[in-house]
Amino acid sequence: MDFFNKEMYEKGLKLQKDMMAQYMDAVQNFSKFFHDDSEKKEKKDAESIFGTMQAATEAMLKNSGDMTQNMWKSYENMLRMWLDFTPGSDIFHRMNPEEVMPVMERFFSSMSMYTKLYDFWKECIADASENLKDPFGAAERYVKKSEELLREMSQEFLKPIMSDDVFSLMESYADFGKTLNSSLEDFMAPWREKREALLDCIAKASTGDKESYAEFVALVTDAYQNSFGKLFNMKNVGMAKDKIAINLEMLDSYVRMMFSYFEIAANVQNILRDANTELWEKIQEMMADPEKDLTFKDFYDMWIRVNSAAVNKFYFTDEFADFINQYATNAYDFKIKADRFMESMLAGLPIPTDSEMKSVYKTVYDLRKDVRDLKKEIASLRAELEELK
Amino acid sequence: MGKFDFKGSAEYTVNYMNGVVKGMENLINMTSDRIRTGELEKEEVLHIGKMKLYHYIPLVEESKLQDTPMLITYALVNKQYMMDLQPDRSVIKSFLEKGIDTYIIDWGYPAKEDMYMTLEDHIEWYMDDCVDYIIKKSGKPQITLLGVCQGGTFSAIYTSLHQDKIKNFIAMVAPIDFSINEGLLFKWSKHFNVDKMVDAYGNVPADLMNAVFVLLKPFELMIDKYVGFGAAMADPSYLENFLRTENWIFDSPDQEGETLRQFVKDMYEDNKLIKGEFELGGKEVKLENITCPLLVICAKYDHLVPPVSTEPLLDAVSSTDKEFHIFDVGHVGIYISPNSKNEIAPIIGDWIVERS
Repeated sequence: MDFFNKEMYEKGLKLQKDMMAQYMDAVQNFSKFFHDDSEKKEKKDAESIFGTMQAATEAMLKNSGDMTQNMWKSYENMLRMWLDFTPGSDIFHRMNPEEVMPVMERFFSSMSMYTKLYDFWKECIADASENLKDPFGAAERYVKKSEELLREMSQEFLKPIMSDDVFSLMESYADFGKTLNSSLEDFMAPWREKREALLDCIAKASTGDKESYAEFVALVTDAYQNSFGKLFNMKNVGMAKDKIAINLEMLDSYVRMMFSYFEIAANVQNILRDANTELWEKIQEMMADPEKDLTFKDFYDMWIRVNSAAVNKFYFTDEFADFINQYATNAYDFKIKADRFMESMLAGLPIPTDSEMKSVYKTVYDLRKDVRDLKKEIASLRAELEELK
Repeated sequence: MGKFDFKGSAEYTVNYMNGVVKGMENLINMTSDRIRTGELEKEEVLHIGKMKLYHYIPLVEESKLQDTPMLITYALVNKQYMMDLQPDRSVIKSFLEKGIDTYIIDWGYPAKEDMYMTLEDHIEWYMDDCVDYIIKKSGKPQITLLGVCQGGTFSAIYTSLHQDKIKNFIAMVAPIDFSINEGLLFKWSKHFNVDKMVDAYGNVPADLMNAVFVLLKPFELMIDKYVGFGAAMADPSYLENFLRTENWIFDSPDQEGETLRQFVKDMYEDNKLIKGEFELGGKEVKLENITCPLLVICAKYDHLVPPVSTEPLLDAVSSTDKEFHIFDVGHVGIYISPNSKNEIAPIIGDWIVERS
């Protein structure tokens, strides 16, 4: 083993030791809370014990969360270093990063969601415990927090399965929407006319009216079609009018895609809000049973089951099939128009465009089929010739 | 009044994290050879375009080989090596141990130049050349055809058109009746603008296909599956199997645009195959032309190809020798669950041997 290999190997070992030490630190902190001096613990009142346990769990989860994140990054870095410095070494050949890294990325993404769910659970039960006399208020806050959680999670969901460029496009919806909304109010008449109705929807949404967001999206869509939509689709003049027209078509298709995405998001959010309200009621029922102790694992299992069933039920409706088709069609339309715009920009450069390459692919495909047919014909003629001989 | 069990929750979490750390140790010690797939020895015998035909080296003496060779046709989505994903659950190994001379088609990874490939090209060109090769090589007039998932649909079409070359036909979790609404793919496809998708992409990217498959069950496939992984990765054999399966699931080829367009329009939208209205290269495809022995295999919990989509094949064919089995597994579990080698593969193997 040469110097670099040894150095890298030692660094790798140290890293593993550090990871373990970090974990052991978390575990020892936790043990101290539970197992040291049981006599003292018994003397504490229930509230204090619960508080301590909760703090310990939080500390441990926080540590473990940091640890897994750091471990992942360090682990990846370690492999990358080995990859750079020790090609051909035994260490590198133990595992191909491509076989493991994507899996672990998805795992750590799920861990991140799992930890968020734990935080959510912890906050909700703390709220419910502190506000025993106001169960409706606690339920309302639970539903609100649940929406925030699901919004965050919907972003996390897509990260590991989408390429970076597609994901950043998805993320940019939100920013684009904010920019659009901020300029809408004063831009054109349709927005002013609908202003009151839009504000009314927002007000209703803040009081928990689940239909109002969908209504809001419908109003915005309508206003857009009668304002920006018209602008983007209008005929242009001047030397660059064709390019401007293509650009505006692309922008129009982008906004349409964004709106159809909002429409799906609004509806899914409504479905999940109902599901989580029911879940909260179930938890309340379970807590009414003096024999029943509810753990985070119990909550997690119920949460997965209830949300999954709600989404699945909605997925099977014609309504959702129409939503998803509308979104997909708008997304494909945007891609087609974006490609067209890109080609128009590249037209003056000596670079083959996608359309030109497609033409080449088609020619090659046709030629391959011709060759295949001719080979068959030759084989058949040869067979006939053999028979004649 | 019950209570929130913080101690139980914390203990669970510590145990969980212990498992994760142990699992990470396992991962550090993991070697590529331990998660290798498709371990059975095979040779490439035919190569057309991106498609390769492989022949598995028999595990029995030549004198003990069954008379009729078998060709396995897998779907264009994902890769065929899932039939030999892990050594202790390899369906193909089970066939080889019974003396079945086995070939398998690997459709390859299509590139942009393949975007104009059609269903006809896959079935009447690639598949037909493979069948002709096996017939010529083996000196037998017919083969057994085993079609898996979309490969089962291809095989039903092929057998309808070339019944003379097929001695036995096995359809495994194969979609045949697309009018159903039980599976989400069937439900959504009826509302789906495939023309726009293919026009936009040419070949449909594997990432997009994977995103759709995962979003069919987002809570299970994005959270719960990996939470379960964390809880069990301390077990080295579980970790190995998980990595193999996971790598297989996301090892997806892009979908050739024209083939996908035709498949979605003719099958999912118009359900032409079971209705007897499907044509391939100008030839009518009638399932009633299938007269050979037929074995239909379904998975009870299959959310991608529910059994109700496959079962109608039994009534659509003219075969008199027909057998149907349904197993308590899902779409993938039929090949990689512990039952696959011990129960499912032997039933298929015995059925073939009796008719070889």
